[in-house]
This record gives sequence, structure tokens and C-alpha cells, in this order.
Amino acid sequence: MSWVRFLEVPLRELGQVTLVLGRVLAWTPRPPYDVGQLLQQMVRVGIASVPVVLLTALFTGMVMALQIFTVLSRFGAEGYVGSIVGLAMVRELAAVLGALMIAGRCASAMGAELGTMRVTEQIDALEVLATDPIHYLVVPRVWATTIMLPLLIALADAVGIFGGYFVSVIVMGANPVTYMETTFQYMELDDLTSGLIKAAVFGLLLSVVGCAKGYYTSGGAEGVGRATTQAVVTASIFILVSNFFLTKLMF
Amino acid sequence: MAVPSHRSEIKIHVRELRKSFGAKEVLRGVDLDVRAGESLVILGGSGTGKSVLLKHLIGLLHPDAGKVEVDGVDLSTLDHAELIDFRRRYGMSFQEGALFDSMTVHDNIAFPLRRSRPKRSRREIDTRVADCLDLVGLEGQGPKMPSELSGGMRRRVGFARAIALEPDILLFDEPTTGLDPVMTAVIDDVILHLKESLGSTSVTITHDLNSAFRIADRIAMIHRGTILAIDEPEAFRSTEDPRIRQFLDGRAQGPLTDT
Repeated sequence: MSWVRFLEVPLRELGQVTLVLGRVLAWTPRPPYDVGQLLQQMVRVGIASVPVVLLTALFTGMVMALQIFTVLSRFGAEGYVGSIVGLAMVRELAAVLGALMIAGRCASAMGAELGTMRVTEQIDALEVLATDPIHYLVVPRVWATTIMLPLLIALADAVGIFGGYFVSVIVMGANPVTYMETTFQYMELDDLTSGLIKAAVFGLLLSVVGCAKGYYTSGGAEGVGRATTQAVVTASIFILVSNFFLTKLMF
Repeated sequence: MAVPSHRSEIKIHVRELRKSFGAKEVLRGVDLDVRAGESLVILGGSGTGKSVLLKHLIGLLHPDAGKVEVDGVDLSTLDHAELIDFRRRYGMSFQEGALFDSMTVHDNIAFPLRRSRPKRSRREIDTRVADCLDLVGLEGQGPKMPSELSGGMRRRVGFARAIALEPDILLFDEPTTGLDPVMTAVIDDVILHLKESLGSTSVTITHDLNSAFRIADRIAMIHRGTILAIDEPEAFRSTEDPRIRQFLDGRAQGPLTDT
């Protein structure tokens, strides 16, 4: 029955994440509503992630323009570079790459912070002080991330398109007016919204995974290290796998 | 020191409590009654299951078998939200303080006050926090962060946070370990004062014998996951039980250390 043991780890991961997600949903409507905590987390997740997300989007847009220009010029279709860069950014790349970067920044931080609180008995102390740790710690983090991710990705969309424009027009010498025209010519509202819905789902998943990893930490400093690493790896896997199913579902 | 009569009401009732972590059996059938208003001290060496027992009394750990009843309520019958709410009648301090390291000392002690009902005014909270800091000899330390404090100071802040709401049941996990003799006496006095002025029931884990004999109405000794003996301090001190004698006399050789 060795295949059962092989399944044990992914099943346990899935179980923990589902359990934490369930408790987040159950506790969200209950008072007290800690708006201060929510705003604080929105700043930490959202505002502080702006540079890293924009840099990722900028260079992705620039590289996409270079690659697609090279390939399309082989059959004389350089005129479509703008459309392809724009659609690829908006539908797919900004959300996935942005979410992966934020998983590296924030899921790890949540894993480390909650993990430290677990091993130093701060989570037990919350329970003892008649406060549910999921309610107090996890609910604001999860909703802050879920709200902030689509906003960050909307910015990333714009910056990615600008990166493509910059390379095409300045480096490759494309016509700026036609480039912008072709960028938006085939783009529909659905392309934009589907990318942002993905971003929100990724935000929910990466924060729940990060918090779950921290919440279930055991074994001192080494355990915190393990939780931090696993938070990033597991969150990234969740993002990549769910991306496939979300894409299949929405298109 | 007033000793509660044997007919007095039972506050915490523990029966046949068992708990294992993996293959390690930590509690092997603990029976314990804590009387209302008494100060019970649990003695025992390291790794004998003292902290695990204490965490069962407040539902932080759930028994594999047996039951814990507090005020006649079996903790295992409460769902998660009810258990969280039930804990309003407790205060508990942890071995290393377990202070919230993202908050100042003041906010740590104010935390239970701000979240309790009925709502208190800011001034009431500030006054109570200052009083609690005074009680544990940390006047004016409110604005500091826990990382700026020594281990002993953190422990005292944790103690202050536990008593801030003047709860009905107090659980202290080694409140005086690592404190100097004067501070130990101060903490002991606070525990006695709470018992006398509020009638709080307290369960204190310690291996500080002086402290134990000072604050205890009764002393229980735990060894290898069971209660060896439970008795009043005087009877405890003069016991003939060789296992308790070894602990009280602090000898390396004896029945406790023979395997």
C-alpha cells in the first residue's frame, strides 16, 4: 500500500488548507470586526508589494515584446505584437507571475510570523484570552490579500503593456500609434476581468496556505524555517494548479 | 492560612485523563479535584506532564480519554466557539510569558481588557494596566516592547496579563521560575491576595518548593503522568512516601529516578 503513503502528504496539505479556509469563512461574519488589522495587512500586503509586482510586470512585458517581435517577424506579422503582448499580460502573465512573487513575499512572511507565534505559545495565549486565533490573525490577512491582489494585478497589467510598448517603439522602432491601437483592438472586457478574478483567487489561496503553514507549525526554530519554505512552495503549487482549472473554467 | 473544608464545592474535576503524543504517553490516567477558592500547587520534575495537564484544564489540549469538568461543564461537550467564550472565566500565564511581540507591554496587558464585555473606557483600561504593572513591580514599563525586556520581566508581564480581568480561575505555569527571591515573594503575594480578595481558584505549576509551601492550600505531586499524592502542605512536608521525600530533599538517587 505504498501509494497510500505517497498520497499522505498532499492530502494532509489539502486538509489543513481546507480546514483553515472553512474556519476563515465561518469566523468572518462574527464581531468584533477588526478594521485596523485589516487596513494594516492591506498596507503590508498591498502597498509594500507594489515595487516588486511592477518590476516583474515591466520586464515580463518587455521580454514578451522582444520574443514575439522576433517570432512574428519571421512571417511578416509584426503588426500583431501589441495585441499578443497585451492579451498575454492581461489574461495570464500579470496574474500568475505577480501572484508567484507575492507568494514569495507574503505567504512566507505569514508562515514565519504565525509559525513563530505558534512555537512561542502566543497562539495559545490568544486562545486563553478568549480570542480565536483564526479570527484575530488569519481573517484579516486572508481578506487583505484577496482584496489587494486584483488591484496590484490591474497595475501590473498596465505596466506590462507599457513595457511591451517601450521595447517595441523605442528599441524596435514600431509606430507608437498603431502599436497602441493593435493592443486594444482585440481586447475585450472579459479578458481583463478574468485575469483579475484569477488574481483574487490566487490571493485567497496564497494567504490561506501561508497562514495554515504557520498555524500548524511545530518544532521550534527549525519548524518555523520549515513552515516558511513550505508556505512558498505550497502556495506556488496551488497557484499554478488552480490557474489551469480557472482558465479551463472561464474560457 | 484558611484551609477550605472538605465539603467545599469542586471547581475543576478531572477523571482518568489520558494523553499521548505519538508513541509517548504523557498523562496516564490523572484524577484531580480542585476545590473552589483554593490554591492548588502541582509539583513534579521536568517532563512529567505538568504543563500538559494544565493545558487540559483550559481546553488547549483535548484528552485522548477521560474528562475535564469545570463548573460542572464537561469541556469536551463545548464546540470551538463556546470553548473560546468559556475561557473568559480563566486567566493563564505561560512559562516564557507568551507575550504578543508585535505589541507594547501596555497593549499586551490591555488586550484582554479591550476585548472583554461590558466595554471599558480607555481611562479605565489605562488605570487597570498601570495597577497590574505596579503589582508585579514593573511601574512605567508600559511603552516598552517585549523584546526589550529580560526573561523574568516578560514572565511578570505575562502574569500581569493573566490577572488583568481578575478571573475566577487562574492557571500559572511556573510563574516564579528564574525570578530573584524578592520577585518570587512578590508574585506569591499577588497569588495569595487574589485568592483572598476575589476568591479565585488557582492552579500553579512550579518546582520552587519555598513558593509552593507559601501559596498552597494543597499540594499535588505528579510523576510519570499520574498524581502520586495530593495533600495539605504540612502533611506533605512530613510525608513518609519515599518518592515525595526524594523530590522534597532534592536527591539524585531514589525511587523517582530509578527506571
